[in-house]
Formats: sequence, structure tokens, C-alpha cells
Amino acid sequence: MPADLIIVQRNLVTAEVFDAMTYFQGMGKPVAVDLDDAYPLLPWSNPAHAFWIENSSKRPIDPIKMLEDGLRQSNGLIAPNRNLLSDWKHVTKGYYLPNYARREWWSDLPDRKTLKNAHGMEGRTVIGWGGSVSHYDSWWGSGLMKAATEISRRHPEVLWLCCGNDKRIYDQLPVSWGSKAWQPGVPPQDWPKVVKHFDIGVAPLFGPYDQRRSWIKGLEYLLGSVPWIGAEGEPYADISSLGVLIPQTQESWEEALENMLSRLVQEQERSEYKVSIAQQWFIENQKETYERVYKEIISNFQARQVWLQGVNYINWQSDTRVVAATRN
Amino acid sequence: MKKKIVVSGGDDLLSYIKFLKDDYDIITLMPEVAKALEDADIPNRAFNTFITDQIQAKSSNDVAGVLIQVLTQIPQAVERLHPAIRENFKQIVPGFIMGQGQSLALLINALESANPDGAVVHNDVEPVTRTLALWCKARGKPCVHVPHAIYLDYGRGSVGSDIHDVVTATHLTVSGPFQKQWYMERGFPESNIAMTGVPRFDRLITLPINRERACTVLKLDYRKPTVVYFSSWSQQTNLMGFNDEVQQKYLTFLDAVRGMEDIDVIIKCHPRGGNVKWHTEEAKNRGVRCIVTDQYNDLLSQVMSAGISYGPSNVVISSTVLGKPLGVMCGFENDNEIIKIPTSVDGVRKSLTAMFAMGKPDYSRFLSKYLGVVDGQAAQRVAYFIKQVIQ
Repeated sequence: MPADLIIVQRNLVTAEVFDAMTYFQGMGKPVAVDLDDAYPLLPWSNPAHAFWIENSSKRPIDPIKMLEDGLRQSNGLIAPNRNLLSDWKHVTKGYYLPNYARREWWSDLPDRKTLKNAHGMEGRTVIGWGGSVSHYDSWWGSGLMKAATEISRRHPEVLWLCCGNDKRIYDQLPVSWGSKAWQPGVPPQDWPKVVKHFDIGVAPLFGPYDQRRSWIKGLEYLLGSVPWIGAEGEPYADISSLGVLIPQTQESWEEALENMLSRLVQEQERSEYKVSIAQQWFIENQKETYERVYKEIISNFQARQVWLQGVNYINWQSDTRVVAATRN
Repeated sequence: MKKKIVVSGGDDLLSYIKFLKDDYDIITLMPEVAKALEDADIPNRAFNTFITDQIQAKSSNDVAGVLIQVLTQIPQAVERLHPAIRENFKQIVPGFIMGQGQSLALLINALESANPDGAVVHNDVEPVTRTLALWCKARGKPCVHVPHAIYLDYGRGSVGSDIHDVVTATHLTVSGPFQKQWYMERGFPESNIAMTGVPRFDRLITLPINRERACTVLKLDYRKPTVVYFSSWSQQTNLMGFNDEVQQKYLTFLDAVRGMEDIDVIIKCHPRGGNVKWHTEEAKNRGVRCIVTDQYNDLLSQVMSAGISYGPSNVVISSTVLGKPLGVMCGFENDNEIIKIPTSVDGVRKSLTAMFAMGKPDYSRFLSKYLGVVDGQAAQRVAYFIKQVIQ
């Protein structure tokens, strides 16, 4: 088999995956795990909470425990957030690898005015956001929900555009029906066109779970030339100079949004210049980054395979291998 | 025309000889040293190239002359011995004289031919190096002794009772104030001593530490602390060395760490002890999970969280240079920085727990006493002193 490195995407919860890991490692191939979510910290509001935290599937071994055992057996954890790596450093070595965007998806996009006009948003200032089902707490806990009420009261031209798979955020956004719109989830290649509708992008975060997210929202706003406001903390730390990062309180959100609305034209002009900076983070431009990380994983794996001459191991048992769920 | 120096070898040689290669024609006494210098692109001439057929013949004749004299005097000499061994002695001595004598005669005759301007030795007590130093003394040439070890504040007995008390060289480099004082007490003139530090410790100052990587290479768990136990061999250079303390302390250590699953254990044997097998067998028989090796000092330096030495050893110095907690099971009574570990199972365990919990110890006074200035430039100072002495 020509592969030098096997990467498993988080599904370390079945015997088959463990068996596969063992097989490939035995064949001299390192197996790394890719995670982008803080499963042990999943909030109750997240639908996945039941599986990971409550073990709703009634697995013989707790899924989080299985995940930990799998990470321990693996040859490293790849994650787009340093807090996430730190969480698991007691079981495995971490390798930081941010999320990147695909150039072709962000090329040849219509301009903002054309897109807004096509969808009846002409004359509106669109404050946009998109996300999956794991962001419910982000909106409520960050203070943005309540800030939205005040902003809409003072700025009737604002249209809150909520996109994605969690309609609760749209349904519960405390603004008038005419001040918000819902955009269902779209395939990833179509998402850039949705982002291009935004006059302002928001990226709220709340609590330790959110501090383990990637920077992708900020990056997408930059690529879409959307001025954006996000939360302070690890996720957007590396691009903090390219956006507005604030503490997560209602007051901070109100102030930041007011400021941005008051000089929106200038902010949008500045965002045009930031696009070229953000384009370095197209995945096509990050070949060396991937090479460096993967080579390091492989090199560290190979170092473990070296048995030095003249080093005698006495009464030395090898590490206990993980017992998969169905082997008991 | 460059001056010529003969060098005997030693672990530190490569580190300081590179500062001398442009000033001297270097003659290496031992073939393996010649090769090591060649590999390091340091030009040198092997000593045996001075041993011509004529010198071989002359050396044999010289030794034969000595042997004849000895044989004529043996009957009277052996009368002092016990009757049971007289005959045996008569048979052994001629062979010994021919073998050892031939080597030394060759050495002296070749030195006469090479006529170096001076010599640098790593010890001046072994037959070959002592002969070299004596030849230099007889010919009024300087001989610099660069010791291979640091003498430690541990009672070796009264002055004159240890082989290391013998100084044949004309000049000395010493590691620090303690060693300088040690030699002065044994009558060596202060004016011929240079306090240079020890070149081999220069590397430790700049050694890059990557514990996690080193643990990976050694198959250790980097999350666990690692204790390195430095064992030795019975150094019988004086009567005080004739005991089994080294063995007993090691066995006590093994009994103490057996079953301690929250640490990793490495047994580091002396590189010239020749007793790795014994250490391995004892650890195996006592059911202790550990690594046993006499190599890879750099790796061990990186993984070590705390060290225990059976007693006085230069590893105590290297560990303190690295800033690692270090305990000894005997010795260093006058050095409070070094933790004294009782030779008992309980004593070892308690000491280990304390050492793992302590932060980086302050060894500045200790290092000043034994190493003088610790700045990574000992090799340059040794080379500078040699240039001052051998002109």
C-alpha cells in the first residue's frame, strides 16, 4: 500500500476502526486522528451531546473513553485549534493544522450588490452568520441575541441573515420578522456565494467549547471581503488584526456593531484589501504546511521504531493495546 | 617551522586539539586516536611511523640488556618470596620484561627520533603515558597533563595513598578551585597549574534539550518522570576501593524502585566498567522494569528528571551542569547542594519523591568549586595554556 500516513476522522468509537489502526501501525504506517470538536465539552443544546456525553447508544464503553483510548493508540492528533491539542496532550502528541479554504469555491463570485438585489435585500444592511447545529449556545451566551434587539431597534435597515442547519437561532432571534431572514444550509461549494451577501459578518463564541473552534468563519468573511466582528480567544487569535475581536457581552456587541455600521463604507473598502491577504490561506497555497506536519508525524512515528543498540530493556512489557468495544 | 607535540588521547582531546592544529605538527601516540583526528580533518602523524627497523632492533637489544641483568639477579631476589611461588616468579618475570619492556623501549627510542617539543597526556600514570611524561622530564621538555576526570571532595585517603596522587607531567590543567588545591596539596607547583575547566562539559552548556523526542527514541513515556541511576565499577586505585559498595548500593536501588510504575528507570553503567551484563542480570532477577545501558549520555541527559549516583562520580558534575536534581548514596559530605540518599529502600524512595517534586536546584556554588567558570570555553582555555607552555 503506497500510503505513508493514515488519517482517521474522529470516528474512534468502533472496534473496526481500532482494528484498522492496529493493522496499519503494524504495517509500519503511522495513524493520526483528525478532530475539530471538543467532544468532552459538548453543551446540552448540541444534538450530539446525547451520543457523546450521555452514551445514548448504550455502547459498552463510553464514547469519550473510546475516543481517548483511540487517541492514545494513535500516532498523533491533528486539530485546527491549540486548545483542542492541549486538551488531549496527556494522551497523544498534537499537531496544529488550521482549516483552509478552496480557491475554486471563492473564485469568480458575483459582487455583493448584485447578489443582494437578486434576493430582495436591496437597501438593507445584511448582518450575516452561518453555522451548524452546535452554535445555539454561542448566540445566547455571547450576548449577541440581546444585542441584536437593540441594534435592530436603532437600525431598521439591518437584516439579520441566519444560515445553516439550526433554525432555532433564527426562530429565537428577538427582532421583528421583517428584520431577519433564514437561509437553509447549502453544499460547501455554494457557501461562498451566501457569504458574499453579508455586509457585516458576525462570529459569536461562548464558553470553553467554543474556544476550541477553528478560525474558518473569520477566514471566510475575509475571503468574501466582509468586515467582521468575532470573539476574543484562541479561535481567531491568528487573524485578530484582520477583524474586530471583542469580549462576549451584550454591551460589547452593541458597541462594535454600532461602530461598524457607522463607518460601513470604509470598512467594506478595507475588506477588499484584506482579500489578498486571506488568499494565502487557500489550501492550494499550503502544500508546504501540510508536508511539514505530515512529515513530522511520520518522523516521530519512525523515531519510535528505532531500537538503539546497547540499550537493554529489562522486564519491559510493551504498551497495553486498546481493547475495542466488542472484544470484551 | 611548526613545533611538534605528541598527544596521547582522552575523551576531551578532539574538543581542544582543533584549536592547536594550525600551530603544531601533531603526533598521535595511539592508532585509534590517529584515526579519530583524521576523521575530524585534523592532520596528524601516527607515532608508529617513527618506529623504523633500526629502532626496532635497538629496542630489542636495550630490553635484552635489561633482561640479562634481571636474570642474573633473580636467584637472590626470589629468595625474599615464599617458596611456593619462587619458580613461578622466575618464569613470569622474563616474559613480562620482554613484553612491557619492548613496548616502552620502542616508545623511548622513537621519541628520541621524533624529538617532539612537548607532549599532552590525558593521564600520566599508565605505563605508556607515564613513560612519555618521564621522557619529557628527562629531556627538559614540557608535558601537559589534561586530566580526564574531575577530582571530587570525597576522601580518597591521605596524600600519597592513591595512584592519582602521582604526577609525572610538568604542567597541569585542572577543572576548578578544588582540583587545583588538590594538586597543590600534593606538592605540584601552583605556577604550573592552569584552571581551565573541563572541555567535555562545554557541550553540556549548549546541548539542545528535547525531552519528548529523546523519550520517544528510548521508548519511554514522556509523561512520567525518569530517574537515571549512575552505577560504576570498583575503582581499586587505593585500598579504600577494595569493597563491594558499588554492588550493594545498586541492589538497594533496584529494591527501592521495583514496582514503582509511575516512573521510568534507567541504569547507566560506567562506559569502562565492563559490567553491563551483571547490572542487567540483577535487574532481571529482581523483577525491576528498567533500561540498562552504558552509552547514549546525551539522550540520558535529556530524559533525566532526577539522577542518583552510587557515589562520587563525574556524572554528578554533568547532572549539575544540566540543572537536574541529583542525589548520591555516599560522598560529597562537604557539598550541601548534593542530596544525600540513605542506602536503604525507604531512603531511596523518599529521596526520589523529593527530587521529582523540587524545582531547578541552585548549583552555582557547587559548580564554581569544581568547574570554576562554566561558560562553555574550557577547550579554548586548555588550548591556550598548551600554546603558552609548549613554545
